[in-house]
Amino acid sequence: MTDKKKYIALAVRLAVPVAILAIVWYVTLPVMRYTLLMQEQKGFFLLTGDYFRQVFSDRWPVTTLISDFLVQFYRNASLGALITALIVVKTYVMTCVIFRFASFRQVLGGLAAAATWYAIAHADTPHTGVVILMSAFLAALLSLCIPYSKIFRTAGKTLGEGKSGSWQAAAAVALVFCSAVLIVRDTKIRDNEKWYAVEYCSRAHDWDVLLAIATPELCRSDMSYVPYSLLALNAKGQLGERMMDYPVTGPESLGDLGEMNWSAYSLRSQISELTGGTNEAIHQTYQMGMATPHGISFGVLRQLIRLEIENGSYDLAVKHAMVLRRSPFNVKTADAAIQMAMSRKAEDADGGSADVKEEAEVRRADAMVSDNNVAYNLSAIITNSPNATVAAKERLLCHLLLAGDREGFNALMEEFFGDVPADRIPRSFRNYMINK
Amino acid sequence: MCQVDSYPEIFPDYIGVTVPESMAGLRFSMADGRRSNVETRKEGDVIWYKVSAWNRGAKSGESYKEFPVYISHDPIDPYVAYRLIEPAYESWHDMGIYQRELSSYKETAVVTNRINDRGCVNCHTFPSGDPSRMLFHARGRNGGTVFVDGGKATKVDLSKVGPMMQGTYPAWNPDGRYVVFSSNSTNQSFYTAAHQQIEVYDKVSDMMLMDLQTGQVSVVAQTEGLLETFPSWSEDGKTLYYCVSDNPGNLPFSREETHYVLKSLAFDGGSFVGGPQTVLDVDSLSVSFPRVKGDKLIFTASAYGTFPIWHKEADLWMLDLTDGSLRPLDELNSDDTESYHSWSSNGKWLIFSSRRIDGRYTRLFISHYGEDGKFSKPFLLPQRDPMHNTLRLKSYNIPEFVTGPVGGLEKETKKLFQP
Repeated sequence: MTDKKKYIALAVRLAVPVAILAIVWYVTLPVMRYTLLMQEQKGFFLLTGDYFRQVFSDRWPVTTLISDFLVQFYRNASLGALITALIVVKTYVMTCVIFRFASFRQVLGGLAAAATWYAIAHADTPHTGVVILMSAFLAALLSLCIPYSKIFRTAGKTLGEGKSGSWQAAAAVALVFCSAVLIVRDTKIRDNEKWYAVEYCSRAHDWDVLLAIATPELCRSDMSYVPYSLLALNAKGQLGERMMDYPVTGPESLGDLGEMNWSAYSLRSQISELTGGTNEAIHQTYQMGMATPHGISFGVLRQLIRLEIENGSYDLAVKHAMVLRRSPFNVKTADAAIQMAMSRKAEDADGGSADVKEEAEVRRADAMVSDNNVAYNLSAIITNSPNATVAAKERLLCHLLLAGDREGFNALMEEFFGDVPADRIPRSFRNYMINK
Repeated sequence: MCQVDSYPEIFPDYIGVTVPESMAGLRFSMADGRRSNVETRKEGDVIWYKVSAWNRGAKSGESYKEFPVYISHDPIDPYVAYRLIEPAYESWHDMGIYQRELSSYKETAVVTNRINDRGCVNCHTFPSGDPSRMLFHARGRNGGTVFVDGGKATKVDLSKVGPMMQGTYPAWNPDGRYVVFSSNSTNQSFYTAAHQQIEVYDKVSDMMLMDLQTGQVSVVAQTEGLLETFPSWSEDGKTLYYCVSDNPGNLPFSREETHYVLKSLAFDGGSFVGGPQTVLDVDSLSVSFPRVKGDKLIFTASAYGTFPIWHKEADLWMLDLTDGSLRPLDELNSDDTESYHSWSSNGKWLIFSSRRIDGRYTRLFISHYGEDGKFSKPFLLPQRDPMHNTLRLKSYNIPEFVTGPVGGLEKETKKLFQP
């Protein structure tokens, strides 16, 4: 082989990992953006004895540690996609090392890379990718102990003689490309991404994007999106106006009651926060933590801090921010939260804090959250919570409307919309009043 | 260095505290996060700490007035057992009963909820701090009360024996033969908007006695219309103290009508004699967790109810059983919750839980009980890294002094929960 051909062969070999990196990053970012962001929301990593004790008492401690460490970077979806791409590329390289004696090693590498990517795309955390990568790494290390040179000298070959031409490189890239096609066309991945997009947007209060995804058409095909769309409408003050554009079947469509899993807790925490039920929002946020592998997560911590500042629990907010600060990707957020909590605390101190007697009075006037009577809870928030919002009133009216409680609805309409001209009353409310 | 004529603001606040001589070193940092240097010198039974602090990158900083830490020669029990659990509302993740060696920073698991598939493990207790004997409850599938004696564990489902009550708060008679359990039907509700977020209350609570020698279980108190709970023995085992409230019904709405008073029952020869005697009934206080050492009884007082950990106003009070004098332990109390507490075996130290640091995560404080009948300034359980208190995302429950190390029970007890 001439020097020129050798250089070309080398360039081709080197181009394969770069091409794989580019393909995986380029495809993963748009196809799995919200999946990655939600993985970070549910992930957690902390350099403390408690964290390590917990990780090492479970299965797969080393890979869990690496996976947890990596997931904190997923807060930037682009970095998350890059990490995914790097895992895939490294798997390719390791496979090439393991099969370095074979002329078709790049094809095998491509196959391994394609399979790894496909597996990662179907996983809930980076753990699957890390397990594959670590396995490949160990296998490559072990393979270095195998005296291939002796084996293949016997067979008339020597190490490194395996040819690796352009067609093998093209085949490797093609295999990864095939994986890309499978991932892009995979219904489950697409559905997950759509769900995570809606869930993430509700957590980020990105209501317009949420409504653009969870359209009435999508809601009709999958009713589980309805509470999210209604939450977004509620946040935008359009629930009474546009609620009936969606396939609403009753008060349960609003999603205030329901299952006990991360998604349900997350939705309920957002509903409570929106209506000004900060206590209940904190309650639901803690419950979200319990639904994660470490009992807490980055997303839960950030939400707790926000709610605790709102609730006046400044010392607690600072504590949680100090914990969050241990994650390199959350330092800025944590510092801003600490600053805000400290300044609010100082403001409150200047204004004078309520004494124990006043607190007792507040408690006496306060109501308990009902497990199954949402209208009662909303009424209590409107009556008792200093954080109660207009959204709480709109939501309560919608509950009464959907529950068919005409008497309660009319009484509240009189109270909330008594002076409002009829043409400015939200459509659903107006229609309900006309049909009485 | 600029000399400052005031004490430094440090976390934890160890300025002027009294510690047992066997206690692990007190480590602290500047409360404002500045870097610091500490020099110490010993002068008799006082250790003087000289702190200098400076901002990162600064050429000079401030040197603060020396502060004292007093050494007490009164011995303290070498271990404390407690439960670690997320301060969550309804559910939990990992929880376990742990022990901490007080002369070091070493913390080890006694038993965790891995034994019962992440169920609940709670209410650990030892007869007079004896580490070889212990009981705790394990809830969930195949749940029951686990008794440990010399490393051998047995499980009893109290709800299926004797009066068929479920065991809740235990009190082990100092002779080691009898245990009184309260049996509580515990519920919790959430406040819509108040500063207090949760109310925990009993709809029913009674008490039963278990004779560990015969295995017999009998009713101690099961009075219609009354809530009886928080059993606790006197040091000689001849008197049982407990808390009683009228059951107002309609809970949680009538929660503020649950007002627990302190009563006692005489115990002799394995049975209770005579009727209940009222020991303390103060309109403004609801009593929980009575704990007796000699003639001193400490309890947690809240405005109402039975679960003071969620009551910010909850404080520790002390009742002198000889003359009936009563006082709040102002030297221990804070603006936030003080709740569970336990005497050391010699009555010279008290460990108690408090939410004073951040209002949510319960931490342990220790205080020395002096000859003058006053407690010293309490100090936070020392940790190797002061940041540990901030970074730990679990609360400490039910701190109990133990006179020695408790053997790891995970393996022994796990067998009890296998189907």
